[in-house]
Amino acid sequence: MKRLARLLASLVVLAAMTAWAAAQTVVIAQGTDAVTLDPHDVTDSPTATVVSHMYETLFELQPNGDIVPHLATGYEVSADGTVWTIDLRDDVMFHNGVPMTAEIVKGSFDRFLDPDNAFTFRFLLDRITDVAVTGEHQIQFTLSTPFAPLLAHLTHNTTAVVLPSYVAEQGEAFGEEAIGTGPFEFGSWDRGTRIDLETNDFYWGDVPQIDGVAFLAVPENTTRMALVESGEAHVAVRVPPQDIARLNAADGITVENVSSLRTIYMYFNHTLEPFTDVRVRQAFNHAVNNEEIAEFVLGGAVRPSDAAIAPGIFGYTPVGGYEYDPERARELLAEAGFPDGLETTLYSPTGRYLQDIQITEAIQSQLAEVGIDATIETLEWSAYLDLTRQPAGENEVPVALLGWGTVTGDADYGLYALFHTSQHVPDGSNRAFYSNPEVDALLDEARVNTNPDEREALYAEALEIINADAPWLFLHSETQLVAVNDAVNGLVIHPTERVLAWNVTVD
Amino acid sequence: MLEYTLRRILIALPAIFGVIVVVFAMVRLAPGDPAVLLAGEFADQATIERIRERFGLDRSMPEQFAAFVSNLAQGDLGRSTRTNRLVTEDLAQFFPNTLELAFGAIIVALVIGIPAGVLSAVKRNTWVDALVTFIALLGVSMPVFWFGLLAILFFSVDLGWFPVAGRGTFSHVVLPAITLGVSSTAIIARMTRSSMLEVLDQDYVRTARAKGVLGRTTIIKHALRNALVPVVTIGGLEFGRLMAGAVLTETVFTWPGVGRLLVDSILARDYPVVQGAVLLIAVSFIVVNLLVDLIYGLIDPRIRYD
Amino acid sequence: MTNAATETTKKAPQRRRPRWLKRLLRNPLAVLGFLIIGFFLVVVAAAPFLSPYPPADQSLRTTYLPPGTGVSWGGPEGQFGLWVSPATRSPIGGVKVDESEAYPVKFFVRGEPYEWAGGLIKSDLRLFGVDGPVRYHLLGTDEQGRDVLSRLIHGAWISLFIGLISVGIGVGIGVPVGAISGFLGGATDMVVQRLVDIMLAFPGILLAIVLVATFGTGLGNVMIAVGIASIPVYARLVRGSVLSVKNREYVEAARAMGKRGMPTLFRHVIPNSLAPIIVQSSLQMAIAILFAAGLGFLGLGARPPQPEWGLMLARGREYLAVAPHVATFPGLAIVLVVLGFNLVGDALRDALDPRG
Repeated sequence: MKRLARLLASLVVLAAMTAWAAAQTVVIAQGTDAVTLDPHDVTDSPTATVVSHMYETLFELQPNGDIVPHLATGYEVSADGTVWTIDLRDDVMFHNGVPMTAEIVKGSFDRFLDPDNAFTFRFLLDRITDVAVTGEHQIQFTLSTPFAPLLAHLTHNTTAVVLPSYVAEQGEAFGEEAIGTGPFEFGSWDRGTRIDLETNDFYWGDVPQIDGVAFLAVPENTTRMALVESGEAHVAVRVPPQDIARLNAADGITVENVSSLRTIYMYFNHTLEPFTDVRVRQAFNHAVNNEEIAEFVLGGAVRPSDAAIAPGIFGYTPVGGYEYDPERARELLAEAGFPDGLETTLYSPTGRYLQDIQITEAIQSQLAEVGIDATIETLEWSAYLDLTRQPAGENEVPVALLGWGTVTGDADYGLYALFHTSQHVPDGSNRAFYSNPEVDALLDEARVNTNPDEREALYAEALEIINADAPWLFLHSETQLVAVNDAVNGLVIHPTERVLAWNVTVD
Repeated sequence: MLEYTLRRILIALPAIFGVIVVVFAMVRLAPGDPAVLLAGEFADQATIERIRERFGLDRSMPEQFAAFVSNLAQGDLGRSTRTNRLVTEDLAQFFPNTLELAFGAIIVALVIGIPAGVLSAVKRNTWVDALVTFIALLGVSMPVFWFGLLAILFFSVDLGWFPVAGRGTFSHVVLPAITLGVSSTAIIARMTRSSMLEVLDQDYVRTARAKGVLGRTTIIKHALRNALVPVVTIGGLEFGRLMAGAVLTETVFTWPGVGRLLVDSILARDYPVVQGAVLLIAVSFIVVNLLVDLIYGLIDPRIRYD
Repeated sequence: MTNAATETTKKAPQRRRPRWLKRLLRNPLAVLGFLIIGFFLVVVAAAPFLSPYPPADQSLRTTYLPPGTGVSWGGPEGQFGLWVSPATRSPIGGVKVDESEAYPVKFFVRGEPYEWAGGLIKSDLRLFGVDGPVRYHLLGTDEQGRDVLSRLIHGAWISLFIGLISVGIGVGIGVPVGAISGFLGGATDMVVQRLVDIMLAFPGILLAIVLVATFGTGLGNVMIAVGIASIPVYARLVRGSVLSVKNREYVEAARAMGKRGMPTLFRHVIPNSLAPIIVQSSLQMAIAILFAAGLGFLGLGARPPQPEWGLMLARGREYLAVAPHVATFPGLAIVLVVLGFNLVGDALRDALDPRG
């Protein structure tokens, strides 16, 4: 009888605890809803954030830039650099109870690499020609050429391991629900509004101490901030700079400021006059005060650029950037044959990057000071992307604002696609049509060289040349401004623009 | 009545087909390419080509149209190029939300608009009439998104009476419904006023009034019953307009409705969803018009369908 | 019909103004509407003179200052009038007013030079301004430190043009189409009415959104899109009144005398449908301005840095929590102008309605 009473009492306590725990769902308000839950098909940060809670990669890029094994335990590279052998954890289980094997991992990479699937980020691993199972928990990648950034690329969230049998079973509907290996399981998805994830109690690593995570889709900035102010959400991403001071002053809310790997710049079209002249490009760089813009347009929340890539990326070296010097800018313009200034058009997206159009307007007025009469052209994003990637000869965009997130944390990803001659649009992403044989040679060499120190030196030299050539109007590297309720501890705001609640506790 | 309904549907078919053709062509003529957009800033040409192939965008326009029409005949609107979801599923999820919002708005409009219109008619050419008219016109002159934002700031953020965004409970729908309903309220008030005036001017009402046979309240009741017929018509038309016009309200209140889905899809060049949403809106607009005509007949037996 | 006719003949001798005009001018709401529109037209015509500064002048040191920052009554030595002290915003968010300096506000001030009316007027005379090296911002500044009042004043013509051009398109295409459709009848009418059905099955703002997305954003396209969206309304309206006038005696008579179809149509039928067109056009001005603002709000309208009111409002909403004035004033401006056209349109409808 006594024992029964004790049992009942403990049950009551247990129930109470469960009820208490049920309240511990961390609510994260993002700007848009997830597009898909298929990790291989992710192209945007809000989706990557959601998916990263359910699916995992072989290696993990830590916020400090270190790469550590995650679903893998270690790796070995053959002497010629073309065969990578990777050992896998043997204690990993998918949410439906299926243990992770080398066979499954191979199936996942085969799916990612299948050209018919046309995944956007397939190019990250496209040097892999074969994936082989060499043990129950060991796989082997064979590469067409040595490829130094491979490890960094294996940390990218799109290379996460999926369960091929589940993919086959779901067919076209695969992206609507999820079965991964991560610390959270798929719960429900109310399209356009909310996604609920539940804690995976059988997680191989540290089981999260909260009961679940919910992601809200709230496009209006004002509304998203109001949600965190009213306590309806614990976390709100993309805080507008003008709200930082106000939110910090509010009770129980702190705005976290974490640097991002995204660089914001304006490129000059090297196929169009007058941007063929390096003096004109340098003049623009001297005419624009990117420190003032960083301070007043972006509330001091960003870092003015001193190189084409951001700190925190492997291969970054500060190479100086350009001093704000309107006098020098006028001199350079005069030398280039424009003593009375010139006219041009600045293309800008609106609402794509933090304060993008505000930045462009500020640049317009600063350029006017040195006699550059710039008109602003804004397009909606799809037309913008289309227009800026027209081939040389048809491309009539002279100057345009863009951002580039080096999400792998390796300079190759940040420089090769943007500055290598082979990458001129529409083949790659070199929208400036920048071409310098020296830079090409350095980038090619850094790709195949596997010695980290030598790579770093190669990138430093390339950054130096790029800086002097001024193919861009260098602006700043972005930061992620995230409003967090003070009761939430352990939230990771990752430089790859993901918010991770893996180890969160709530007071 | 059945024959009438069928005839109306037959007449509507060419219009719907026309809408489909126009929208199909227009989204494809627009600058911007869904494959480029999907591939993002990072993509190379080969990936873009593969994405085009995957969604059949590499085929000629007539081929794509033929495929679209033959699928449509089987009730298949295709899959979103952005989310890979079935368009029909997306619409089934978003459309009820829009209906909920439009329904709330029309209730607001009727509950406030009809009494305001009656008051205005009864107090014709007095300052009360002028005031009601002025407020009604102010209502139609207000940009909905501005009104919505101010409402959020005041009622949700400052006073904390209603949730800021999202949907689910009754209190979620209050502010969006009022915001969306403002202009309809004004239109219904104006309509009620003029149709009341018409009834009040009719000889038998005048006579009854002059002789003092009937009490004031009775007259108003009687007049209102007759005046409601055109009001129902306008109410129905407003309902159709609201379903489509909810785009701005849905944006401000983060309401996951068809309007927002349509705008997002246009911006994302998500052709199948754009086509599906437009088709749905056009069809529901036509259906609402038809229903209004049929209800009209039920209220006013003088109208016959032949 | 007979009643109205006898009434007209009876009153004819002492009539000075048409009845509808009298009725219109007796309506205080109509007068208010005309006053608003008149004010609006004056603002459009004299924009650079009325605006304190050029609309694009920005300064990152004076972003979103609240209305009237630095303005105080009475000078440093107790002088009469409004005085202005320099105000700046620090990057952390605070506004600092330097009270040690102050300059008087004067009625007429020589400010930034401007050209107006296509270069016919060159001047630097502005109404109200500070006599000194400091700026005053009656309605505050926006996120780029631009004077909100100046932008509102310079944005007025955009709204007026959006209204006029889109109404012009609606009338220019809708009226002839509706008239021809109604006059010819038969197969032409059938085809035209089905086309109108297609457009009506696709409510206004959505049609405008799809059109703008297709042809690209920008003011020109917004005007065209809003204009096209109004075509079916005019076509229906005119067709209806053409049908009702078509069979009246004088048209029949004109026909019998051997006049050909089209000239008859334009000589007799169109003038008779004028009243509803005018009413509709006034209301359509209001709708067009609202639509354009809505498109601007969705990012599909005018392009920055144009001072279009809908766009200003859309940008300002990002600052609602810290600087509500940036979105409030453009909103009020839209309400005011749209209200003006609605008041006039509504009153015109009442005045022209023979039953009223």
